Amino acid sequence: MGNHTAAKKIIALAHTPLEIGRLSDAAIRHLIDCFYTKVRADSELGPIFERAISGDWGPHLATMHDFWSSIMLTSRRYKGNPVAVHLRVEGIEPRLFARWLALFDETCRELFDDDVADAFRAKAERIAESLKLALFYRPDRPWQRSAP
Amino acid sequence: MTFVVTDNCIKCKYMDCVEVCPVDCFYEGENMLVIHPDECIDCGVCEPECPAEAIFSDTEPGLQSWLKLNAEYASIWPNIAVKREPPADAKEFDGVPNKLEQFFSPKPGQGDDAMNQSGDDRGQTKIPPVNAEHPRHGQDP
Repeated sequence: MGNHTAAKKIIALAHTPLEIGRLSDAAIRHLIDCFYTKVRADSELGPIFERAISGDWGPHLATMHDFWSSIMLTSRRYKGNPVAVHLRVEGIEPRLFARWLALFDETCRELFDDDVADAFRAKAERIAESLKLALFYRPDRPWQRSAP
Repeated sequence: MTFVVTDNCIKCKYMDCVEVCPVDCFYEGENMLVIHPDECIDCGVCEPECPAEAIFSDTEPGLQSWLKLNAEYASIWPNIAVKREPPADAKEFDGVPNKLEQFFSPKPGQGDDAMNQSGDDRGQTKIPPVNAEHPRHGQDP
């Protein structure tokens, strides 16, 4: 049974335009699917996302595919306002960004070669820091920059 | 953190950057563009798109005055997300040093309204001023 499943996987992979480990639009789509499967199963992030998305994940996954395609491939597919969207998320906290980044990096490293995973991490860390500043910075409190 | 537009944009204004920006954070002056530091998500997609190589991360040293200029004019110039024809003489000014002192215009540009008088849909998704006391204006509290 195990061998049958593995064989099916190999056949499926052979029919996708995915060059294993390298960056492409199809690879980003796969990354998004794998990453959000982990997010939904995560005890900290899962409930926050399930509450914010409430129901059909299809549009969210499509938006995230467009976003990362725009960021990594300059595809111009995403135009939006991520700060405003995150402001509406109930229960969002600075520490959850670290959890998100760890899961995202873990997924990237499972799917991509190191140089590609590094590029994703660099972008994700910068964007996360910007979102955190926009959401949580208050002038009367010290700001500890967490991205390198 | 943010990216900032610097000297070599002045009188070049190629506008390639505005089309790739995922969050539409460019604002248009008469002869230069700027980035709104509170709206930029620091993704860096615009940087390699600039033919004039005028866009830099504010983590690079010596850009405080440009960060201040970007913040100041982003709050008064119109938003631009659609590229138009660059100035006819853009190439002649590409690489000319110290354009700020000689050529900078504080006047607003046309923005996207010039393309669509009835209003662009994108205007409705424009980012509101989230935190007026944001640190990215370059002034410490």
